[in-house]
Amino acid sequence: MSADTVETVDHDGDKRNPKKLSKQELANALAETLSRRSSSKHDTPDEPPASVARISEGSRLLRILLLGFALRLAVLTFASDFVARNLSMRVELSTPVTSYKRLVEGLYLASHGISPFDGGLFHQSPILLALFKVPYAWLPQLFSDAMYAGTDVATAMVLALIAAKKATLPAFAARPLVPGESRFRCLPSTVALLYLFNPLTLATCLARSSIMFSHLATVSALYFGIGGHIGYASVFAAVATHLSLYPVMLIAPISLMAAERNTPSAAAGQNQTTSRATGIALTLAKFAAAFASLHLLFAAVYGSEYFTATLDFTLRVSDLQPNVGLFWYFFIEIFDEFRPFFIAVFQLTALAFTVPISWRFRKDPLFGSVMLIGVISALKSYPAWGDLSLFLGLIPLYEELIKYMQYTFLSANLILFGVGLAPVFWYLWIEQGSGNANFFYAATLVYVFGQISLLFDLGSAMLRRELDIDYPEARERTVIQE
Amino acid sequence: MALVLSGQGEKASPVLQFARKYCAHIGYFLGLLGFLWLLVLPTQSLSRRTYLSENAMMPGQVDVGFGSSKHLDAMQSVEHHGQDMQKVFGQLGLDSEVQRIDGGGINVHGVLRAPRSDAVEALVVAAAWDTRNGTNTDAVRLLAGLAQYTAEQVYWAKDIIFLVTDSGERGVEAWLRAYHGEGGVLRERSGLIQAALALEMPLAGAYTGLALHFEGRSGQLPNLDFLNIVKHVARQEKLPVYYHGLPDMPGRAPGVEQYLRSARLLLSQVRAQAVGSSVGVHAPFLHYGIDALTVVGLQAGGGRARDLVAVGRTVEGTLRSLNNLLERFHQSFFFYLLSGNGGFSKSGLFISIGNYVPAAVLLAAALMFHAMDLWWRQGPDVTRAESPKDRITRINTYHGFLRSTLPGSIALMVRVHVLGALLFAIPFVVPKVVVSDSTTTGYMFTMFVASVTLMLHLSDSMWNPKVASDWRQLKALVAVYVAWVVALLAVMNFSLALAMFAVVGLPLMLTRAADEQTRWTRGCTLLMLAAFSPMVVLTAIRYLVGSEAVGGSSSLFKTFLSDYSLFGSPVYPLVCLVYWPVNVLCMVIALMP
Repeated sequence: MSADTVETVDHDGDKRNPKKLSKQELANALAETLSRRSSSKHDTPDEPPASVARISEGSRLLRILLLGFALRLAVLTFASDFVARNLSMRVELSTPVTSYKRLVEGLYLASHGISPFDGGLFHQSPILLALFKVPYAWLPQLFSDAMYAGTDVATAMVLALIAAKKATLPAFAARPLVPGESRFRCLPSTVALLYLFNPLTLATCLARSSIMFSHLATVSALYFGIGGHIGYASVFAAVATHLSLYPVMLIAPISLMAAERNTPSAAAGQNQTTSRATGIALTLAKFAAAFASLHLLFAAVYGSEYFTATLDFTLRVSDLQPNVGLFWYFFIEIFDEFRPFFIAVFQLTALAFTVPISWRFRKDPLFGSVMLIGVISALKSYPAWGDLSLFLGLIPLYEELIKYMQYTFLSANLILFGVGLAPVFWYLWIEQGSGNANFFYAATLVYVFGQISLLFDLGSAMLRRELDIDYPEARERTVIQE
Repeated sequence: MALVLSGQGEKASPVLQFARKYCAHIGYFLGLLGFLWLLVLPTQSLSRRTYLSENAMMPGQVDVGFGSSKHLDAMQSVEHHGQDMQKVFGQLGLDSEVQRIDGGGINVHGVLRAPRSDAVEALVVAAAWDTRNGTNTDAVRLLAGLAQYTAEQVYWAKDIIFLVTDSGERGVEAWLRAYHGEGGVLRERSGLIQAALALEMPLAGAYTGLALHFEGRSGQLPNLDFLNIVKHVARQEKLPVYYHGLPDMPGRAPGVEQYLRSARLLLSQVRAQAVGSSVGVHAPFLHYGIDALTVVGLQAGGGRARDLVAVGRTVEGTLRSLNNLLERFHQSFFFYLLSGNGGFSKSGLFISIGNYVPAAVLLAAALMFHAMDLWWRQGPDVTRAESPKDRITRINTYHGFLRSTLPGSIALMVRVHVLGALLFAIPFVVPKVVVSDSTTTGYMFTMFVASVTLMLHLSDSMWNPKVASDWRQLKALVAVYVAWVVALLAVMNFSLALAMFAVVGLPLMLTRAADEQTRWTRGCTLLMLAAFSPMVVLTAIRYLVGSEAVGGSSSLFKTFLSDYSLFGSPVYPLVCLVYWPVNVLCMVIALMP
C-alpha cells in the first residue's frame, strides 16, 4: 500500500512511467489550491461567523458530555442488575487485564495488607489500585461508578479538544486542501458525540472495563503531543503504557510531533536533521524516565512481582480466557516448547508496525497514532470491543479522508457481523453447549478482518489524498496501488 | 474486495462494472435460489438416514425387566389425579420432597440414589398431571412403576430423579430454577442433570406408536443421538416412533404424497422451533442446556396396539442407555431438521445444518446484495460518473451527500427503535393481572394506530424540502440491518430466521422494488405492508391457523409475552425491537419522496 510504488494511469488506461513534476508546476498547483481553498471558504453559506459558532459549539459539547455522563451513571445505578447479568462478565468487553471483578478482588487484597499481585488473579496496574483505594474503602458505589462514567466523558472531551486543536493549529490548518473541498471537518462536539454514544463505548463503560483509563491517558498524550507539550505527552504515554502496555507504540509518533515542533520550517538543511534527531531522542528519554520512575515507585510499594503480574502477563499471554483477539485460540493449541517463539512472533506482529507506520505518516504524526491505535485494537493480546471503540472514535478527526475510503461497505459489514456473531456463538458454545470454540473464533476472525480492512482503507485514503495535494496532475488520473 | 467498493471506486474493473450493473439482479437471483433451496428440502435429496453416533450408548443391548406384578402394583398405587405423590415416592424408598411454587402449584420429586456412584450426575423422568389434551394420570402411573423398577436395580451409575408437577412447563421451570439455586432451595438434590425424559400418555391403555416432541422454547434442540436412542429402543418393543406424531404414508406412496408428507413434518418443526414448542414439559430443560424430549403415546392409526408396559419398557431401555453416557451428549448433531420417520425402521431421515442453513444464508445474502445495489444508486447522478476527470467532483459530491443525509437516516432508524423499545417495556411496567386477552388485543391495536400515525408523521417530515433524504439510503441501511438479524438468527434458530425473513425481509425487498412510484403502486405497497404488519399477521395466525397450533392461550401476543418472561423465548423482543420498527420504516420508505 505504499504510495512510493504509485503509477499514474491515464483515463484511457495506457500507463506512463512515474514522472517527477517540475518545480514550476508544483508552485502553480499550490497557488491554485490555495486560491480555491480561500474561495471555497468564502462561499460556504452555512458556516456561521466564528464567534457565534464557538459559543453554540461549546454549549453543544457541554450538553453532549452531560448527557453521556447522566446516561452512564443512570444505567450503572438503576439497572445494576441488568448490567451485572448481561454485560459485566462478557468476554467481549472485559478481559483478564481489564475486568472490574478482578479489580475489586485486587482492592480487597490490598486493603487487607496482602499483595494483590501474589495470587495470580489481579493483573491491572497499581495506578488503578491507587485511584480506587479511597472510593473502595470509604465511599459508596455511586462514587466509583461516577469515576468510570467521568473517565469516559473525559476521554470524549479530550477527543473534542484534539478536534478543535486540529482545526486551529498551524501544523494542520496551513496544509493545503484538495480543490472543491469545502471546509469539511467534524465539529468537536460531533467527535465527542460519536465516541460517547457508540454502543461499543457505552457497553465498555457499563461493563466497568478499566481499559477506559488507558484510553484517557492515551488521548491525553496525543492532545499534549500535538500541542507541543512533549513533557506531559511523555508522562501520559508512560501512564498509558503502565495501564495497558501497547500504548508504548505511540511514543514513536509523539516523538515525531516533538521533532516537528523543534524544526521550524525556516531552519536549514543540516541543522534541521540534527534538531529533529534531538527532538526524537529527547522525547524518548523523557518517556523512558517517566516510565522508569513509575516502575521504581510501584516496585518500591508492591515489590517487583507487580511487573510479572501486569506488563509481563500481557506480553506472555498467560491467561487464555477467550476474547475477541487472535491469541487465545492459537496458544491453547501450541506445544509448550514453541510457546516463547510464537509469543515473540505474535507480539512482534503488533509491535513491529510502530516504526514503519510512524515514519510513513511522519508528515502527520497524529494520523500515525490513529493508525497505530487501530493496529493495537486488532492485534493486541487481550483485546476487547473497548479497544475498537477508541479507534472508531478517532476516525471522525480525519473526516476529510472518509470520502477517499473505498471499502467502507465491506469493513462496516464485517465489523457489524463480527460484533453480532461473537455473543451469538458464545451463547451456542458456553450456554447452550451445542457449538464449540471454533464458532467463536470464526466470529473473532471476521471482527479482526473488518478492523484490518478498515485500517488498510484509512491508510490508503490518506496516501491518495496526499498525492492529490502534492501532485495536482494526479487528481484526474486513476491510481493503481500495488 | 473490488466487488464491494462503495460509490467512489478508483478504478472500475470489468468485474466491478458487471457487479454494479447486475447487483439488483444478483440479489433477486439469490433470494430465488434460497426459496428454491427451501422447496428442495422435503424432496429428501438433501436428507441422510439417522445413525447412532455415540457407540457407548449401546441402546437395546440389555434385557429389559419392567412389567412384573410388583411394578404393576406400584403403578396401581397412583389411583387418582392429584394424589399425594410424596407418599408414593416415600413408599418406594426414594428421597422425596415437595416444592410449592409461587403463584400456586406443587412439584413433587423423588431421587433414586445411584448405588454405584456418588451423585454427581442425574437423569430426570418428568410428567405433569395435566396436559393440554386432558389428564395425564397414566404417565404419572407409569412413572411410579418405573420408580419401583429402578429402585430394585443395582446397576445405575447416575441418580434418577422422578418429577411430577401440576402446573406444566411453569412448574418444571420453577423446579429447575430451584434446582440450580436461583429461586428457593431444594433439599433433595443430586448432581448435574444429563438428560431428561418427559412422559405424556393419554388415557387409553393401548398405544399404536410413540410421538417425539423435542423443540425448546427458543428453538433449542436435544442432541440427535437422544432421539435415535428412543427410536431404537421403541422399535424393539414393536412401537413405531413418529416425530411430532405425524404418521407415515402407508406402503409405497407416490412421490407427490411423499413430498407433501415430508413438507408437513418439516413445517411442523419449523413452526415449533420458531414460536416455541407447545407439547410436553421438556422445553424448560433445554433452556438450561439439558438434552430433553417428550414421549407421547399415540392412539390413532392402524398397527398393533401395545399396552402401557411396552411404553414402560421403552423408557427403561432408554434410561439404561442414558446410564452409559460418559460425558454429556456431544457426538451427534445439535442442529438438524427431521424430514422423515423412516417408517418402522430403526433410523429416520434428517437434514444436517450444512444442508439446510444455506437457504437462510442465501436469503440474507439476497438482502445484502439488495442493500449494496441501493447504496450504489443513492445520491445525485454525478456520484456514479466513471471518468477519472470528474473524480474530485465525484468524491466531493458523494461525501457532501452522505454528510447531509446519513445522520437523518440513522436518526430515523434510532427514533423508531426507541419507540419499539418503549412498546417492549410497557408490559413489564403495568401490573401482571392487567395483561389479559382483551388488553393485549387493545395493546396491539394501539400499536397499530401508533405505527400508522408515526409513519405518516415521519414521512410527512421527509417531504419538507429543507430535509435532505434519500429513500434508497434508508432502505439500504434497513436492508443491511435485517440481513444482519436474519443471518445471526440463522446460526441460532434456523426456523426463526426463516420466519423473520418472511415477515420482515420479504416485504422490505418488495417495498419500492420498482424505481418509479405512482400513486397506485404506493397504495398497493402500503396495503401490502399493512398486511405484513405484526397486528395483522398475529391476528391472522390466531384465526386462520388457530392459536392451539402455537400455544395454549388464546392471544398470540400474550403467549409470546409470557414465553419471554418465563422461558426467555426471543420472539417477543424480536416482534417489538425488529419486526414492528422495520415494518414502520418500510412504510416510511414507501411514502418518502
